[in-house]
Amino acid sequence: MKNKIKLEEYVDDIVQDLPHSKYTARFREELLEHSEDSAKELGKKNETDISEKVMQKIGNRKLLIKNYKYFHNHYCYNLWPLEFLIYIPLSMIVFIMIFSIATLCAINSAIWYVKVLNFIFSAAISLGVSYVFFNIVFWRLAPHIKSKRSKIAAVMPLVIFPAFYSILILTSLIAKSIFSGDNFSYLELSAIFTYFLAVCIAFELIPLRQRKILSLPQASYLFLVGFWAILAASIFASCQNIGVLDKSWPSLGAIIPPPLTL
Amino acid sequence: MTRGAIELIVLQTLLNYGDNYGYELIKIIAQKSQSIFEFKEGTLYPLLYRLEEKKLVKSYRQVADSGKERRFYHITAAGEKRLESKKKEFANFFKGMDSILKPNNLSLER
Repeated sequence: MKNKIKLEEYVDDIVQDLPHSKYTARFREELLEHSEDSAKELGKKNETDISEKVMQKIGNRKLLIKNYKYFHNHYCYNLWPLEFLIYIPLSMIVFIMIFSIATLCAINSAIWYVKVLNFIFSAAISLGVSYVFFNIVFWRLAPHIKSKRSKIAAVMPLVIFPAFYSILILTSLIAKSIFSGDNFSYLELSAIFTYFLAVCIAFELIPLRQRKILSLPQASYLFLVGFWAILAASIFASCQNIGVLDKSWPSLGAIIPPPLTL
Repeated sequence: MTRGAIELIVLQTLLNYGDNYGYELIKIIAQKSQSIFEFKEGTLYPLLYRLEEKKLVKSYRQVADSGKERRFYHITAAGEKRLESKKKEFANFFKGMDSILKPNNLSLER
């Protein structure tokens, strides 16, 4: 009994370092059963403590965790419909919070620090979205991919997403110049560069994902928050720029890109 | 050892010796390979989960000979099909290796 408790403690200690998936509990169960079988086979039940011996037999803890993580990274990164149902409303709540703060900040957009905030929001949101997006593509899709053609297909969204984003900004800017006769401002152009800078930084951050700093649920959640924020802000800012929305509205486009309408 | 080889060994063992659970599988493989292949738990269980994800094996709980309940693995029809293709792949690989490693291959015609 004492040995069983020790084995359980040992197995729990290993399992707590494992990423969570539908297989984690099962791995714990099988590892424990395996340890019990090993203990039985050792035939030293009369000894007071055989758990250490069993664990030596079971092998290297580091290797065990590494192998399990390999499996997890390749096969457990699935976005289940249930997760989507949870994360979409959650992302909307967070978006509304950001939206409210942005509205409050933008009430008087002539103030210099709003311009600074503008840049911070722009960089942070762009960076977050890019980082998470890259994470999802590389760590969820890429491990499954074998052929070169499929690899290209998987990387295509990386090209399409920034391109789509840039088209949104440029369309909005062109519409603005056509309908209001205003020229592009330096701030607006710098928003595009901020975004691409963020993409570059995201590339640099990819190795951090290997250390499990961001789990997939966190990544998908952040991705959806960013996606909602950018999509809504883009539509809103575009509507303001082409005159569909009254510009006396709080200048949300000045806070969340694109485009920056200070 | 390559991952493909481990998959082949596990599927073949399940086919030859019937449904079994992790601990027994490791023992059988070690015994039949004269201790050349001694899999660790961290290798076998994630591999079995992977095979199950691919629907090459399926698992179920059953009381083992020891009297305790264990999770048994069963090779599916898809698993058998996969095993056949893997065997062909490895047969070709060994044929190629054999040809390369033959001493008379040192004098190649130019």
